[in-house]
Amino acid sequence: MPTSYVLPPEWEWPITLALFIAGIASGAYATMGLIHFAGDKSDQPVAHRLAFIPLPLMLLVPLLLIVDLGQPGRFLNLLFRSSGAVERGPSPFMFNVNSPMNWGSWAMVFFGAFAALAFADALHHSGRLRVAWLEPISHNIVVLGVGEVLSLVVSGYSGVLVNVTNQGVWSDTWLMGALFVFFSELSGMAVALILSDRMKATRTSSALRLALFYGAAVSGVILVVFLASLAAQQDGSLAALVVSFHEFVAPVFWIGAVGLGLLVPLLTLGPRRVIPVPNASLSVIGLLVLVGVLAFRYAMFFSAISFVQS
Amino acid sequence: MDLQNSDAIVFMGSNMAECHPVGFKWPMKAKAKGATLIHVDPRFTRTSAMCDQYVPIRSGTDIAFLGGLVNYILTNKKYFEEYVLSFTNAATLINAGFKDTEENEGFFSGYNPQTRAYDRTTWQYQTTKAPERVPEPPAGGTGQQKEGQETPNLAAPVPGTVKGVNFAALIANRLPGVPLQDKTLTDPNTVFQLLKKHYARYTPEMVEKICGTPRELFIKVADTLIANSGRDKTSAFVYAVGWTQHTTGVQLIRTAGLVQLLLGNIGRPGGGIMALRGHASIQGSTDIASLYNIYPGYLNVPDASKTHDTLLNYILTETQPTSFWSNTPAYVISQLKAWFGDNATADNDYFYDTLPKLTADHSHLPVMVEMSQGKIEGMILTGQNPATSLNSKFQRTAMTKLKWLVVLDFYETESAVFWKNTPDIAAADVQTEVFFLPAAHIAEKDGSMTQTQRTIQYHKKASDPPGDARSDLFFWYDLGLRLKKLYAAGRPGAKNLDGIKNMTLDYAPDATEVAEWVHKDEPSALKIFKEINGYDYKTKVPLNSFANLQADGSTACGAWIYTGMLQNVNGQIVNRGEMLPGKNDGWVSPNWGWAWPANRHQLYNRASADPKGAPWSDKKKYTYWDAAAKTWKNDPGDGIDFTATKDPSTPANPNGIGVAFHDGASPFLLKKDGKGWLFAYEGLSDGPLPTHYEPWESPVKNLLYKQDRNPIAKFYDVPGNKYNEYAGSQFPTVITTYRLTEHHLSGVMTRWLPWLAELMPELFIEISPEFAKEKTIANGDYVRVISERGVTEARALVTKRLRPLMVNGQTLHQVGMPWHWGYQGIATGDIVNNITSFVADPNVSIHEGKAFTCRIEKGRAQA
Amino acid sequence: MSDLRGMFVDTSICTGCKACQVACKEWNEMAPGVPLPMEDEAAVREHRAFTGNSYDNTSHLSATNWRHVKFIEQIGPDPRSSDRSDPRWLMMSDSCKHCVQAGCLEVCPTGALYRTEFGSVDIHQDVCIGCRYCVGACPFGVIAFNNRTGRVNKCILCQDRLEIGMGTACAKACPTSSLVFGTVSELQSMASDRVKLLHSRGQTDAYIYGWDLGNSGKITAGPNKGAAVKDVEVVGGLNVFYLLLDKPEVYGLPAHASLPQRNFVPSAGVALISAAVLGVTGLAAFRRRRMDENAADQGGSNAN
Repeated sequence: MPTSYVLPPEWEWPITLALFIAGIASGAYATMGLIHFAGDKSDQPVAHRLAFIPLPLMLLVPLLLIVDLGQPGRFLNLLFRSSGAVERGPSPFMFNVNSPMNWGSWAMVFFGAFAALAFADALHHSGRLRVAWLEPISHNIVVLGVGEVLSLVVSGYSGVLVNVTNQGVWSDTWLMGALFVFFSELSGMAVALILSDRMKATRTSSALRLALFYGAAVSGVILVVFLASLAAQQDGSLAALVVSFHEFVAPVFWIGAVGLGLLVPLLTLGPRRVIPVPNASLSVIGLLVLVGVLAFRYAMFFSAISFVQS
Repeated sequence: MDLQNSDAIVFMGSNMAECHPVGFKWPMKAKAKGATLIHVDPRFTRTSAMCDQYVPIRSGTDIAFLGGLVNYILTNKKYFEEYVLSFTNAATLINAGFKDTEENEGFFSGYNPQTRAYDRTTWQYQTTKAPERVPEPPAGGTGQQKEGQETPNLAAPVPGTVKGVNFAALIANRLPGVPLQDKTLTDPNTVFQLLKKHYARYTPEMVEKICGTPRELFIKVADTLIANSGRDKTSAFVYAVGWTQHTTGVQLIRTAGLVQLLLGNIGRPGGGIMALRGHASIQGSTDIASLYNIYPGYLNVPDASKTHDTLLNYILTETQPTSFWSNTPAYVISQLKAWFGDNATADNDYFYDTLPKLTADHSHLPVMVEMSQGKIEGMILTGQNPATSLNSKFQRTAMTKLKWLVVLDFYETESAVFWKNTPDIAAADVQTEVFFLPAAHIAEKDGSMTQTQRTIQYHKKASDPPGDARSDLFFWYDLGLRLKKLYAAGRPGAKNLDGIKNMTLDYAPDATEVAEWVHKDEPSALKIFKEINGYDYKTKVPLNSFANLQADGSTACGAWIYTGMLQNVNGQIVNRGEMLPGKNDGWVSPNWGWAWPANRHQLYNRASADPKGAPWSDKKKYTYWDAAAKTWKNDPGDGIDFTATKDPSTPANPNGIGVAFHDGASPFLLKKDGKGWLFAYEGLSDGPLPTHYEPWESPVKNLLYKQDRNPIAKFYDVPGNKYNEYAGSQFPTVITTYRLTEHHLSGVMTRWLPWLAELMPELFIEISPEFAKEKTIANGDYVRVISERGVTEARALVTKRLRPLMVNGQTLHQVGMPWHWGYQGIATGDIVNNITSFVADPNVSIHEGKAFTCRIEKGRAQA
Repeated sequence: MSDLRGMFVDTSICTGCKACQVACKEWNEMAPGVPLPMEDEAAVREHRAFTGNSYDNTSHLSATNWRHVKFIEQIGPDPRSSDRSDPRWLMMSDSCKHCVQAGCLEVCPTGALYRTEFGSVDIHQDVCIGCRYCVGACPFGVIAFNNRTGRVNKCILCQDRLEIGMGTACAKACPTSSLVFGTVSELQSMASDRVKLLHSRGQTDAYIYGWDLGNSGKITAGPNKGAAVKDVEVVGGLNVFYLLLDKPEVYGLPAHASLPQRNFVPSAGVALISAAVLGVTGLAAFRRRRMDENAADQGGSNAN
């Protein structure tokens, strides 16, 4: 019988979705950067198309936060110091160095700028907007590098954030940040794979499917380490994730996160495919991985609730 | 507060931590000082949790337990010999014709099976021959007190006349003989020997058999009490309605009195038997007469069955020539003067004749029985909720026979809507006209409370009541004024109207008293307070002491025991009910409120000194004789409950009136012989010594006597009040009812308040896991509790705090239910009193709600 | 730091009367114009049900229950057996501990949670955005989300009373002085004296939860009978601290509470490393493609 001393944080669907979407946005950006770094000319169309994705998604995130917080404008207190919070000093900006949420908030703001830049670049390449001076900036290696780092912060801060609590499952290891980074990138690569598949960019697809396969493999390793660490806690946190039927956490975890998110790419995308699938179904696999990542987010967030409730 | 001085405290018949949580700070202080706390109770409660010893007992067997203590103390010779010899009637000789229950199968001598009553002739003291009666005693007239004199003169009744007859002389002429004593305690007729014989079979083994209390736990209690009593130490008993609400309720408390007298724990700091009263002012409501048979100040209501036909005969019957009650005439006449005013004189018996006389027991249960028979036309309910009271279906049905009903309360109580919201009553069939009058809450009115330590505290109104709500005072005052008006010109055929016409009712408020409030016609509580206190009739100045009360109509006083709560200090009137500011006055706190009588906090405190007047020990020093100053002293500031200058070596005076009859070593000045009564030759209708009888409803037979039940308990053989059958019946389970901290009584003051309602939202029944297993009841299940009177439904709270008991070799299950719920309010639930019955103690008509039987079934009451 | 204010909760003399709970609600939520806590539908549903858990129908601290009296029945050494020796019924009035190092305060991203001049942790209700991060960060399950206001609530040590020189409402209402309000240093010495007194009487169960005042003892009744207990300092000390008679877990308190911050740097570090690993695997994927393509080309030329 697990002993819980904490209250569940009641982070449910809006937060799960917001972070899922932010994960896709940052993952897509990171994948875009990867293509720029590692790909060649034939991969560029996919990279340029991918650049459309982060900005709209990043605009969706605050909407979901508003839904969750109940009032528009409240989330501004995350960035600008409210006049009521006199104890935080005179700065007009709010930044609590101890709070991963503050780190994440600012990272999203700055990442948003880079996402906008990418979006403009994509418009430029699609011919809808002609800005000649943009390309040297948007394709600048330093700019891309900083954007890449920010996207990784956005990918991972929510994992670090849940690590920095006292909730069962969440705070039991140091691996949540890493897991969230991995699954964000998996979702980004899945989106890229779908795009490349739709664009019939077979060359790019073949690189992306390998990237997804490797990513899933490393994620699987980390997940196993994570589950083993939970088991070592012996406080019931493992059970809260892998056997709890509270809010269907365990089925979602096994079928969604492990099955769709990891096993599907591992079995279908590797150099030696365990399950042979026709190339035409890469989009479907990408979609399955996206569902798997959503399931992962869900299972992770709700496992803390199932831990407290059990 | 005195409990903080105890070395051991036994809580029995009380769940003090839960039901008197604020007062419980004092036992906790004692515990912090090292006292041992003991809880004897059918359930392990929040009180048990605070105690060093928890001792389980079967409900309703307390006399067996306490009688066991008496026996243990006597057989092991652990009584406080010097105290017992001097301060109790242990050495007094009883009539040789007396027969004990031991010789008489559970009856004392004098029992008449036809009348179900005792003739007390054989219970009396052996005495010397009474002084010869003087045919025509000289008229009194001296010895009156001067104004402002602090210490009452207890020596002689205040003289006076009614209709020209000098009753003081007649009282003096009725002195009895002096009781005979054998100080060696060996005479078989001594109280001591009778006591020994009576309790000889109340052994630890018998206690275990009857009470289900493991004998080692019982012996531990006995040894703890003995070790914590004597010269250096004192122990206290604490009880509440867990002792009173039995068919043997009065005798039960008396048994504790025996234990405490034998251990020398009465009248001493940290000793005593603490009666915890329920309401904030339930003590006040007995002092100022909410009982049908007592006028304010514990004066008996005139009774048609006694020699009460005239005031003179009433005075002669009620005045005890050899106790403090020798002063009764002054109290009675001052009271009549307060009620009837200018026209009340000695020549018209102060309108005594206009007082109604009692013709029977008019307490709650018989009144409801009469109501059920259609003999009662109307009823006014204030602060009472019969629809949830004992055998509540019976009471609800009885109310349908009323023509009219007035309910004064804060909320629309169950009784206010009994005609429409009760499942067992069809609204269309009820002809009763019901008036609901919203009442003001305590903070919305001036007034006083008298709490469990007899301390009076005056409080002032904090706000106007909402809407039409009015104080109870207003209601009764207004009713009185209307009656006076109605009868002012007389009514055709109406007799005896002088009483109503002459009612004083001078309570119209001064303009300043109501200036800030909406209602300008609320009566002045302070004026009523002043009338209760008493005043000089001519000057209208409050009196400082009951010693100032006169039997000649020159003083008026509503309740003599309260005289002195207003004090005339150099012409200034001081309300002692208000705290005197800025005084840290020690643990007795004589300036924190005012304790009746005469601000004496500890009654009979002369017993805190030995017969010669010296403290029993330095540690327990309290009231003592200062030989140099020739006066009694009390250093913490308590009032001396004794004649202040009476030398302890004063011999008894066979010709003395009142307490002058007693010697200087007789602390119990309300008793005719000044002694603590181990043997009560009068005052009780069911025997001079407490005897174990089973509760009226019990699954077991009386193991001590052939007689199972209290032979003269009051029972009501009427339709709707059938009793559960005896042993081996379909009602095998013992049930007790109780209160919780979170709610009060029937919940009118608590179930409507969300903060309290949520703390205890639903009715529950406490069941031991063993019994629950037997009945396949799981925690939280619905359960039906059934008796011959009805059914009630509750959620099961399965807890090891309840336990099965081994009673006479057989497993017996006990369950318990808090009874706060009803069908009105925020937190609603079934009514526990659906299953209780009408059966009562013979002395004071208190019902037996603490021990009866039931049957438990799993499932809801109505499918 | 003599200005630090706190409370000492002596559970050995708590009678479970719940007066503190009621006083807390009346003082903090009954100000004119503020709706009754019970008008919160969710609160009504949550708190108006019989739980069957001893005399506790409140269950846990919440946004409308800033104080909660716990009831722990220990009638005999084993709850399943009929042995009822050494019966105990432990009661404990729980609330915010006003930790010297407060997890809620550490993670609050808006500055709504702040440390008062009395050392307690208060909430600026107008700043709080209801992100609930503090809810997950509190090691004791104290701070809670209020569905009615969309913000978080917890005991604020009656900040409004303290500002005008009064003590807390709950301590004022406590009939047995089980809850005592005062300066933390005074309370510590009071607590230490109390433990020593109990030990000298043979009640060796007592120890302090919140500060290490150097006491240690042994449990004398209940399922943990014989187990050693000793004073424990929790997250740098608790300004509201307890005298307990059994292991902390028995009271629903963590034996080792810790700050959420313990995970920040390691977690961020592992995340960074993993990001780097992922970058490497990404590069590896493209490299593998090139190798595969080269292999295919060679294979093709071989075949040619």
